[in-house]
Amino acid sequence: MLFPPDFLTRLEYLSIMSKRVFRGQLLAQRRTRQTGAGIEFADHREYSPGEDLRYLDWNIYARHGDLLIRRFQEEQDLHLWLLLDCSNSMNLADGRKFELARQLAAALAWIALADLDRISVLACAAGVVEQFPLTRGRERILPLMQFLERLTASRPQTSLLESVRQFLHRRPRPGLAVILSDLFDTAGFEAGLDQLRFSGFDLHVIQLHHPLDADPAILGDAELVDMETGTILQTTITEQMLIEYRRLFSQHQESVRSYCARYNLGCTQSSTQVQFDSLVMAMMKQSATS
Amino acid sequence: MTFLVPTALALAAFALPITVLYILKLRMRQVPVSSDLFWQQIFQARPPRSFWNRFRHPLSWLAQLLILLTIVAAAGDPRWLSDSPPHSLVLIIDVSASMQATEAGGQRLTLATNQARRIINGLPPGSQAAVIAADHRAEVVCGMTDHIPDLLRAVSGIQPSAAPGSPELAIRAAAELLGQTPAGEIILLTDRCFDSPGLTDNPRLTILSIATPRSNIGITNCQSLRNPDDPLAAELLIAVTNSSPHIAEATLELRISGTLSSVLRLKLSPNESTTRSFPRVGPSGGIWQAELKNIRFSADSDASALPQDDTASATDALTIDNSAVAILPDAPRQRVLLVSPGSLFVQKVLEADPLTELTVLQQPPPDNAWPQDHTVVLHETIPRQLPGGPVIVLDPRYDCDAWNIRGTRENPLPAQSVETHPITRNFRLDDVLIPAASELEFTQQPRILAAAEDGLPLCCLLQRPQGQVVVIPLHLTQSDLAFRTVFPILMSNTLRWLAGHSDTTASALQAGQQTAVPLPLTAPATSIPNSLLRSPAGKLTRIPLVPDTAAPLSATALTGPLREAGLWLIEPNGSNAPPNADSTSAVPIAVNVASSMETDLRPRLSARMSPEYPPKAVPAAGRPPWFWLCLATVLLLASEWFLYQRRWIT
Repeated sequence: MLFPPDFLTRLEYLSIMSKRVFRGQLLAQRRTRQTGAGIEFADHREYSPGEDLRYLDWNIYARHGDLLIRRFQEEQDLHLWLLLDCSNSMNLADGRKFELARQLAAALAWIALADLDRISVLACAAGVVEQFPLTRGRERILPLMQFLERLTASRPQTSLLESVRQFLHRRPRPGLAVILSDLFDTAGFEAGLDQLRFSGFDLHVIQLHHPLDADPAILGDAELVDMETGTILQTTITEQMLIEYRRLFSQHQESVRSYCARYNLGCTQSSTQVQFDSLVMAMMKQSATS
Repeated sequence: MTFLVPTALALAAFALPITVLYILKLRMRQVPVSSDLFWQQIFQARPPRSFWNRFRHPLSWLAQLLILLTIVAAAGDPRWLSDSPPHSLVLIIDVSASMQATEAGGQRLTLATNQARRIINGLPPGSQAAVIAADHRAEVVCGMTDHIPDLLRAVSGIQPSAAPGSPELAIRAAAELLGQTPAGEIILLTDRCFDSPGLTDNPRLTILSIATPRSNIGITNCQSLRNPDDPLAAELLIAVTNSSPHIAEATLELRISGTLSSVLRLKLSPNESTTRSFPRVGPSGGIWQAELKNIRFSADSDASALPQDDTASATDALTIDNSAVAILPDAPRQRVLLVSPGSLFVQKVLEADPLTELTVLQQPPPDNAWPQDHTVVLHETIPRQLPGGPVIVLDPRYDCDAWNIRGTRENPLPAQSVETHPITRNFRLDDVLIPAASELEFTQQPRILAAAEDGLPLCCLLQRPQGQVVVIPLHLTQSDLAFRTVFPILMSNTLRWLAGHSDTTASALQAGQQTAVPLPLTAPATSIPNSLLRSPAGKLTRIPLVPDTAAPLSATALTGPLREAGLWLIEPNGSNAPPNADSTSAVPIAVNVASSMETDLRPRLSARMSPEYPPKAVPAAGRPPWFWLCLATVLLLASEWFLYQRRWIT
């Protein structure tokens, strides 16, 4: 069962923990840096003709004769964009990878909704295939869970770049974008993340992998069927090839970690053997210590 | 090299499917993976199998072909080429009791079969051979064949026998198997513990001896019997022989039906035999078991221990002759019906016989309803028709279907009697006062066992299909016969003879003999086709029954030769349950080695020894080529598996 009966109870616990211990660190109370009609002073800038004279700082003009406009920080709600990978690769073996990804999406959405933030979930594969529209309020958690339950990981291919492009074409308001994927993108994951980064999004990458992804434990003659493309490789797998595979997988994981570290992005890598709430707690601890 | 089974080379055709399997695109198991991203990177350095690149592991393929080649070659049973021409050979293996003696290298029979295998494995290509197991009989366990595995199997299947050895019959059978083959040879593998001096004259016979002189003490005879004159008395006779150059001491234990009855310490000089008898009184029989224990050989009469270097030859080398069994049957009980108006003497004489169960009637049973299993004694009272079965008639006073009374003869003088007949054995009427005797006119001619001077029968025997009739026409009430000791002897002899219990069955057989065992049945013999025979080792065989036409509830089992020493059991009633010694219905047969020739383990026959036999046909490295080919197959299999087939993850 994707959302067992005690799922909401565990979400509530996560919400409380996030407020008590990690308030302001991950999602809660985050404000945009947009300046506008706020009440908290931000800085000055030079006056341009035609601007509203109500924001002219008369005291400075009286003392120094400079025309400066006062600027205020506009307090806006955080926008949380959850990009959920729905490609076939998330459905390996028992489908635990996709299940964990959806549970994580629900958990993060609940924490955000509890802080009156806005959230949206985008199901991605070769592009954005489905979207749960931007919403706010705790009461929206149930429709969101129904949306997540409806989703299936049956799309043929992963293209993070194309998904991000289609997402950006919808002109989303910048906020925190959380990528939930195994990042098995033949074109590479960097281009898609770069696009989001350049568009002013804060990024957090959650990379999930099945134990069979890390160690396939196949030996002898076999037909390897790529779950996304359907490509079949006939081969005789030897111990040497398995060792090489494990090396390449570790290398791939390391490349994700180093990318995130280079651009100061949040990064969580996990096997599907852990529970979603343990993973969320680990993410919070990581955010608190970083 | 030549191949004895060239058709086995057809197995080489399996090379084709093996090669095809290496090329053929097999339906492999499908393994879904999240992405072939990493596999593609691996295959950039090591491309997967393509259509033109399917011939995987050529070295493995070559190894598989080599394995097939070695298997094919081994199946073809190759032989080393040698200079020896093919010839015909008959191997006679002595399996007599003495072959179960132990030598320094093991049991004699084991040494003989090992030698036989060596000879068979060393036969030149194209040779034929046969195998005969010989005790005092000959059993061809494998006829003339050139198939070595059959010969080796036959040698392995040879079982030891407790019967005495005498290979003449086997040698004759071997000569018949060889026929007129000029290159034919007979090899006798034996311990030479028999006396057949004529054997050495046979030019085709080679005797290979596998025995050295051994010391042994054994039971060479064991029989039990009841005294025919006194069935209550029985005796067990045991003969023990010391077949060694040393003084032998042993304890002879005697058990009757499992209960220790007697223990006797024996001390026998070199080559001495002794016979002991053990009496027993009583009607009950049982199984007598004699066993020699605590056997010790010593050098002199003071029973001092042997010198160290002589100890090995002075141990008891044969154990199967250390025990023997004999069967003592129960003394037969006899049911007697006395029909008499009243004669205390006759009644007391019959009651005094311990083996008699007496019933007394004053008148014949109504409607002539005579009991079937009784011996009827008629005193004075004579029915018109005599009853069936055995009958004794004392002092007949009336006519019947067997005789008419012509009158009474006064004072007949006893003059003659047939002393050799069991009835009149130990029987004389000379001193008996006979005032009168009936003069009978028989309807058939009787056999007269005792008669008066003028020929008047005083004791005669009538042969009837319904049963024998013994007639004693003396007037008992006037004669003093009933007061004399001759009367109970006469009655006892007559009852025993009429009962037909003259026990001719041997109490114990010598191993290897055949026997016919009378069996009491609980159902008609025609409904029981066969019986179960259980050997002392527990092996079960079914034996046919020969029904007794005169008695529907009895049959005879023909069995043998019984080659195993010990107690054999027959379950007579067709039950599928194996008979056991505790069963009341099982009929035991005692079989013993009982042969002084087999007990003597010192070779006596001079052998044309040929220890190097066969001189030229020993295969290279002591093994036939198929052995080395099989070894190569195993090594190749192990190597191929290690290099290409093993599966483990480090």
